[in-house]
Amino acid sequence: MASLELSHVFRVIGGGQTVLHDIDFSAHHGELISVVGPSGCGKSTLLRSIAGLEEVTSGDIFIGGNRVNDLQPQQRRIAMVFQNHALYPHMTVYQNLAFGLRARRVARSVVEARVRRTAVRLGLEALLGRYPRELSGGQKQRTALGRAMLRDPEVFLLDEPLSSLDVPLRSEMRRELMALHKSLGMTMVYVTHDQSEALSLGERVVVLSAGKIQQIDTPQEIYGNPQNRFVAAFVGWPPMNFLNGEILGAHANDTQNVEYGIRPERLMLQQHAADDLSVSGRIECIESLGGVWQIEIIHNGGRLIARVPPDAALRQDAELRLWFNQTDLYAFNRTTGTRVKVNR
Amino acid sequence: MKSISGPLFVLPALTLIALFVLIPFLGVLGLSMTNFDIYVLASSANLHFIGGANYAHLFHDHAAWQALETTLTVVLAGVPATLALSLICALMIESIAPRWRGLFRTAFFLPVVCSTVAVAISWRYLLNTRYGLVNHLLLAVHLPALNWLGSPTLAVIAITVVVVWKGFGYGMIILAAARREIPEELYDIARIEGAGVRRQLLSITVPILAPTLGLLALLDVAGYWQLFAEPYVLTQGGPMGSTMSLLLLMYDRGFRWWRWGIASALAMVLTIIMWLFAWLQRHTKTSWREG
Repeated sequence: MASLELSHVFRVIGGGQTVLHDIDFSAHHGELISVVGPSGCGKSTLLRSIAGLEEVTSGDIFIGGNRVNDLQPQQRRIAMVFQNHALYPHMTVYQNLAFGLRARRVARSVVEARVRRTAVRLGLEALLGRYPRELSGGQKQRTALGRAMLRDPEVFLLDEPLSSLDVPLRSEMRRELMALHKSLGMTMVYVTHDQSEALSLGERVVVLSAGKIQQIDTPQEIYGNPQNRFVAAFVGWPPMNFLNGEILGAHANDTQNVEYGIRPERLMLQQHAADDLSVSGRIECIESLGGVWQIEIIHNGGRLIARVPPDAALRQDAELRLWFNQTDLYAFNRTTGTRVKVNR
Repeated sequence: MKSISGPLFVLPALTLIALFVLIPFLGVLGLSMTNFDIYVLASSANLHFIGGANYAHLFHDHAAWQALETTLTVVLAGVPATLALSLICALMIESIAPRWRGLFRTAFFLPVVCSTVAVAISWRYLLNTRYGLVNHLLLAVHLPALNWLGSPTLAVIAITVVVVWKGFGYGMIILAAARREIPEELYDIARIEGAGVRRQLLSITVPILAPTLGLLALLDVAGYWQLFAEPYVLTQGGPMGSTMSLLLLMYDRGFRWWRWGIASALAMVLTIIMWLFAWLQRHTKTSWREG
């Protein structure tokens, strides 16, 4: 039985704007789903709708098999972690952790025991007497996580929980989150605008744009088999290169309505197979990223980015031919953006 | 050059403070220990140093004690009432539809920017026993008309009401701004955690606004101790001296009876009282930031 299920969920706000358009997916028990999309795509609204902080216009939401549309947030068996941690500034870590239990009138001794156990688990036991302003970013994040864990939720909702942390801390917290997810075995919905975070954390990834689900799949499939141009362009960094059909004379039969895509890391300096295709242009800039170089070439006025091994022979403004395997080529309908089979 | 640039920068402010605070303060302190009165105005030969005699006189003066009681009553009743009203209106304004906010904010803030004398005169008409709107409304709901400014108790209540009405808009604006600074996520979390509206107010809103409330309390206390214009216009200190505030008494002694020595001693007493209150408030923990 799915632990979280959204069935044809719509959300229309005043003024007739559709923020969520026919959202339909389910997460089975213990699954970690990441929801990714550009800002304003509706991902936070989606999460808040699941939490019950916002109402949906139509459609049903099920948590643990029960329809929760008409339930208050505290009745939905969910917990939520916010980007800015949302800790109460006037309460200590202990009071922050205990707030929900106190609000539900749990006995003081039980509160004490549960808060301590959670604090030990998250390495917060030495910080219980501190105020949020005396905590580092990671400690604040752990406190917010602890508070959510104390709700013992069926579904754990995380709204960009790592984006306010600096980069090294972020990857550390990401590992902690994954470990936590494994040990708690809870269903998690993880919202982020960072596609790499979405891919690395999610067992499945929901790509959202303009309130519509573009694709739901495993990270490998999202990256390797994008269903439309939006997903192809949004996922992967540096982003996929897009080329007009004419450039690749080989597929002349539908050049008018097809756009081709090739990932930067699939472009090569040498030909490897006899039927490899190539594209050439002037080197606009060379960026050394240590073990890999990022090269930008201008071809027919278009711009292509390639990731190649360092090569001292490369010079700016020189002509360069880049090769790629035909199987690495994606094709999209120019008007609808949907993926089409590459013609040979 | 560097060593004198600092003092030079503060010099204008220090000059103004010396001119308008320090020198008058010392002058009043000096005057309070003389017998300065209308006879001294006639001939300075009548001026004598009398030490603490004015203070001793005040200590035995029934009017001074009554003025202290009246002023203290207005402070103790008015400050909490003002803060409560400010808070309620601030929270109300922040929770209603944005298009109504401007209207209410203006309506509540208007008394603050109005001249106190004009406000007091309007209220004198509103509170008029025979023709006043207040009694008119009371009669309309079959309640007895009251002699608002003619009864000692009612007059103090009426003046407190006017003072609160005139002042709460200021705190409301400050509190509304402070409320807007509280992230909405704190309330989202509270809803998820199952905290109701009452608990949200008492456990989140009020504690977070506490430092702001403390600051407003300090300002209000200082302001209300200096109660003057409202009783001056509404009641002239009457009936039977019941609405005579310390400042009004000082004005009465100083400019009606020309007893500047006594008036100066009263001013000193008021200064000391206000210092005491400010000191007390500074050392009361109203702020979680400092804790």
